[in-house]
Amino acid sequence: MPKEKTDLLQGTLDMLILKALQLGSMHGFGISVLIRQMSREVLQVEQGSLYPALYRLEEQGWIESEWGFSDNNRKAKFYKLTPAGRKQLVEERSNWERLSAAINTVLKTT
Amino acid sequence: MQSNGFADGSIADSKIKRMISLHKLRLRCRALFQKQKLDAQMDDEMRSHVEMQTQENIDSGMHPDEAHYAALRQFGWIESIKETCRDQRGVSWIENLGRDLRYEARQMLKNPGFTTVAVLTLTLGVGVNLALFAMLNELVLRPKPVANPDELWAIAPAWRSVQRAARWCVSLSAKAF
Repeated sequence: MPKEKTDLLQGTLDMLILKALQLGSMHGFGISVLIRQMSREVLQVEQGSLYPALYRLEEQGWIESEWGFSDNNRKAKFYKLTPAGRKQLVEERSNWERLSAAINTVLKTT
Repeated sequence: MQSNGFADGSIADSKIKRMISLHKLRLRCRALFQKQKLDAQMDDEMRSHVEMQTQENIDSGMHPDEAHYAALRQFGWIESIKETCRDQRGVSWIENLGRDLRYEARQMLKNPGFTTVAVLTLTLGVGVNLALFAMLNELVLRPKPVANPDELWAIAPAWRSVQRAARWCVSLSAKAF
């Protein structure tokens, strides 16, 4: 468990979910574990934000879902990226890079 | 994974947009007409999440009973999460509208006096409006049903106020003196 929990910036959760799904189709639990691992235990996605985000992304047409079986043969709903979702990820990523570069520039000003 | 991205990139934007509109329509129909099925699936999905969390807790050394409760705690307030998820379906306004209408119908049945007065007021208001507009439409807006409406004359007494009214009544299609 992370000692210091970092709150996710509004809107970045969608991007992280899309990124996680870029690595392959996955169920909700898998996504939350993966985001935690990829961020080296810094980012902890709350279920209360994860599932509404998944449903929102599906409604937007960026991800789609189907029922399948997990590694230990448990019934689970798997999400995967759609072509539109892939495009969205590229867009959000470039926006994020622009934004974070700009913020860093401001913070480094002496 | 990268090669996948390139293959999908060749699909035209307009095609993607059309696919998404269709997809949204389909999802919304399902949200409206198969609500119970969707809710049951959501239950299953969250239950399976809790089970997987339980398994992870057991794997990390917890007692099975404790692991289950810990997983539930880690998940959070499940009913509130479900409600937020339902709101993402994009048809909650239709459901709310339906609920409001049913509520209104019940209130009206409960207060027949108020309902009668409100209905009568509305009826009278609409009726009077309609009558006035019908009159105005015939008198002023529509051309008179004669061969040369331009040559139509209104004859009125010499009182100025009556003359003005007559001129106004035939203003679009006739002269007055």
